[in-house]
This record gives sequence, C-alpha cells and structure tokens, in this order.
Amino acid sequence: MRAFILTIAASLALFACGDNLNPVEPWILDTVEPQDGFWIRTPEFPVASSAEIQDCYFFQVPDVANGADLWVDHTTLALNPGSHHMNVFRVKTIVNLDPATGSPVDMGSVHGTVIHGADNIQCWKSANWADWPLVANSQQSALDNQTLDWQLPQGVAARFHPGEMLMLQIHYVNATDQVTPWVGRGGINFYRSKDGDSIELGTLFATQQNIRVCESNPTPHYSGACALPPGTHTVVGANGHFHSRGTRFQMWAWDGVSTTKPDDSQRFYDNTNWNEPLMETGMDVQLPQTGGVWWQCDYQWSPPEAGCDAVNAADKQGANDCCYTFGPKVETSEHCNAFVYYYPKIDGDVSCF
Amino acid sequence: MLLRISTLLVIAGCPSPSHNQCAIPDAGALGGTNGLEAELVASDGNGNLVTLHDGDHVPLMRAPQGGHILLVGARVHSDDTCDLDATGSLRDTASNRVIGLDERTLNVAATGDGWAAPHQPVDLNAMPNIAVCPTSATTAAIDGNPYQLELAISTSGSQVADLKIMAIPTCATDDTYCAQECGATAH
Repeated sequence: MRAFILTIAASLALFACGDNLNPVEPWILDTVEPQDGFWIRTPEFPVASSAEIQDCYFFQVPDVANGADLWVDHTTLALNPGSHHMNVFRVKTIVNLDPATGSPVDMGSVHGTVIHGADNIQCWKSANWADWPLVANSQQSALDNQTLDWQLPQGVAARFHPGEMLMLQIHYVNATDQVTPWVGRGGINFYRSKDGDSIELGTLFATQQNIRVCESNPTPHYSGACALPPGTHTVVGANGHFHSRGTRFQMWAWDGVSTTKPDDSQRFYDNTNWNEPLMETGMDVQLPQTGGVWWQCDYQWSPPEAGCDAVNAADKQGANDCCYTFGPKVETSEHCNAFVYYYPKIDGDVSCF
Repeated sequence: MLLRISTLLVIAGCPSPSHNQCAIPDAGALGGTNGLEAELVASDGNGNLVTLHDGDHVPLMRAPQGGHILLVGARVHSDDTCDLDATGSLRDTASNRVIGLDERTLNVAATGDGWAAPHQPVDLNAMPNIAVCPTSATTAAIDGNPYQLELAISTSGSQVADLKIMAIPTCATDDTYCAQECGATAH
C-alpha cells in the first residue's frame, strides 16, 4: 500500500511540475502467465537525497515446464529513472551473502528474500558473487527510455533449471552524479521459448579490479582480454559499465593469441555515455576461433562535488591525490565492467577478473 | 613541535609519482623492441619486488572481487621517475593461447643505482594485474604448471622491451580457495 501511494505521489508530482506537452509515466510491464514464462518485480523504495541504495533480491526459477528446463528467448527489463544498474546472476558459492538470511519479499510471480545493502554491507561486496554467472543486466533508465526489450536470435535461448536460485541486484543513486526523481523500482519479464530453441546463450563478465584515476594522472586507461572456451562464438549483445569519470568504453573481437589491441575494424562496442550506457542488442559478431574479447576503459579525472575527503579516505595507498579507486559507490569510486552475451555456451559461462 | 611535524607528514601522505612518459633515447636506434634494458619482477604481496628468471615460481594473488592474478612489472635501466605502458600476459605454450592479459601504466621510480623500479609495489594498481584464474583458455591447472610469462613495454607509442620467461604460477600454501580455483579440479 505504501509503495502504491509512493507511485501515485510520484506521478502526481511529475505531472504537476513537468512539461505537460511531454508527459512521462513510470513503466508498466504486463504480467506473464506461467505457460508463457515468469515475471519479477522489486517493491518500490524511496531513494533519499544524497543516498546510494543497493539491494540484493533472491528468488528461485519457478517450475513452469512440468519439471523440465525453462528456455527463455525474450526478456523485458524495466527500471525507474535513477538506476545505476540492475544485474541478475545465478547463485553459486555462498560466501557472506546468503539468501537464507534475507527478509521475505513478494516479487510478483515468485516469492523470495531481500538483503538490503543499507543493513548488510555484504550486498555491496562483489567478492560475494565472484563465481555467480551473469544472466541479464540493464543500465537503461532514462525518463523516456525505461525498458529494454530483447528478443534473442532464432534458435538461441537462455536455459534455467526449475528451482535454480537467482539474484537480482539493483543499485539506485540520488546524488550529484545520478538523480532519482521518483522512487526506485525494477522488473523483468522472462518469456519462454516456444519454437524449440536449443542453442544455449552464454554470458561473459569481465572487470578491471584495480583502477586509479588521480588528479596527478587524470587520463588513464585500462585494457584487458578475456578468453572464451575453444570453439566459434557469436556475440549477440554487449554493454559496458563505469562511473562518471569514464569517458569511453570499447570492446573488440580478439584472436586469443595477440597481445596488442586488435585493429579498430574488429571493434564491436563503443560507448561514451557513462550514465545511460549503450546496450547493444541484435548483434551478430563472430569471434575468432579460440578467441575472446578485448576491452578498454578510458577515464578523465574530475573533482568530486563534495570535495576529495571521501575519495582520499577510500584510497588504500593514502596518496592524498584525490584518486578514484575500484569500488561500487558512484560518487567516490570507479568501475570497468564488460557484459557480453554470446552463443553457444560451452563449459559454462565466462568470468575474467 | 613533533606533533606538528607528524601532522604535516600525515596530511602529506605518500607523494604522488611523476606522470611523464619515460624518455628512452636509444629505443629507436636499437630497433625498438629491445631498446630498454629491463628485467621482469613480480610482487610477493608484501610490497617486495622479486626479480624473475626462467623456471621461477610466481605468486598467485587473490584479487578484491574474486579470482587470482599475477602482479608483474619490470625494473628498467633508467634514472627517471616516469611512466611506461606495460602489457603483461600469461601464455599456454602448448596451445599458444593467452590465458590472461592486462595493459596499464607502469610507473617506475629511480632507485639511485641507475635503475628504476615500480612505484608502490604493494599496491595492486602499480603493475599489470594478469588475471589467470578462472580462465576459459585452458583446461590444465594454472597452479604449479609452467607457462610463458610475457611483458611488453612501450613508451610514447614505441615498444622498447619485450620480456619473456617460463614461470610457474603458484598458490600460497594457506590459500585453499586458490587451490580450488587455479588447481586441476577447477576445470
């Protein structure tokens, strides 16, 4: 009821203060009947001024195929404006982020648990999901573009086992770098494949963990390469993730052997918008046999709006050089994460970190 | 007075390194790739640099978000405190595949003996982080097996050193997660 009131209030405020020529409404997704898949929604939650909120929702894939694996070839991901990211992972090794310790939560077609980052720091610590393969992600939450609708290519689908535990992690910011005008909220529809898709979608998650963007060295870049299992792979989707010092995120098809950056003719992703980074879908990029992905993040240092104290405090090197280092907080740290979707999946999903 | 001095020292913190590109005057004359005398070094995780030779063990270090890396750089023959571009990689010589690769700035500080060594070797940002576990490039164990460790160094767009040795990535004895992630059972 509280969430509903928040939505109404937010909508009224928006319509009252906004441009009536271009009214914008919070997203609405249809619910999904079991024969067509399943749907999940986070509750609405306020994001106070100057706050960064990250919550970890856990739920099990429902049995909607009479015990058989569920193949999903179409997803719709939706986020209220202000989101920094929404990532879904398959839960594997439990370190310090245990779904069993979460609070019960109604997520639409499933029930799950939630661990709020404000109450439990473990929802912020990426080492807790180090071996949890990526399922889906969205960073798309612009006022006029709150949903990402993605139909996979013919024959390709993501595969889930009934009862498999997934984590949806959602991060909202209402500060200088990003603003949440209403309330935080995310949702995903997973649509079941009905045309016999049998080529399994794989995911690649690669990250640069040790980043340093300093006042004295304001334009660094970091590059890495991530190998895929032997075989021929086709990239169908990609996006990159960094914070507001990020100026350019690029990915190339890599031969798996060379140690120099691939020629720009091999580049398949190029994004300069950190806040609403390009999500490329509908791609058809064939990677070299036994190859993989080369990625690079470029940065431009800028002074923190709140001064350097918090940034310096997080610098383990103690350089007092206003250095943004690796971390999840948008205002005070940086990231360089590559999300790549490909087929066929061989020997599991791929992580490079 | 002492308090005032110590306060000043705390405020000053560690000095920021100089960030000018190293000038290697003979690089062009020597054909580029071997213009700079250099030797491979690795961090032992405690801030110490160890010079590497063929057959040496290189510590597998735990990375903050998970996975294990090799933290590898170079000592170079230079009187400068300056920046080089370094690309570190680990290669499976049986398949020729690169298992992990990382390219970043390598800041070296003059050590007063005609050489310069990585600045702040205790910090993970200081040298290439070659992420080798987990990997999809090989099904063999990383821990305890020999692989080719490579470091290419360039400055101002020209390669000035190309270092290669056979090295053995090795888990710390008390790192049981490393044994799982980088061992034979990892694949």
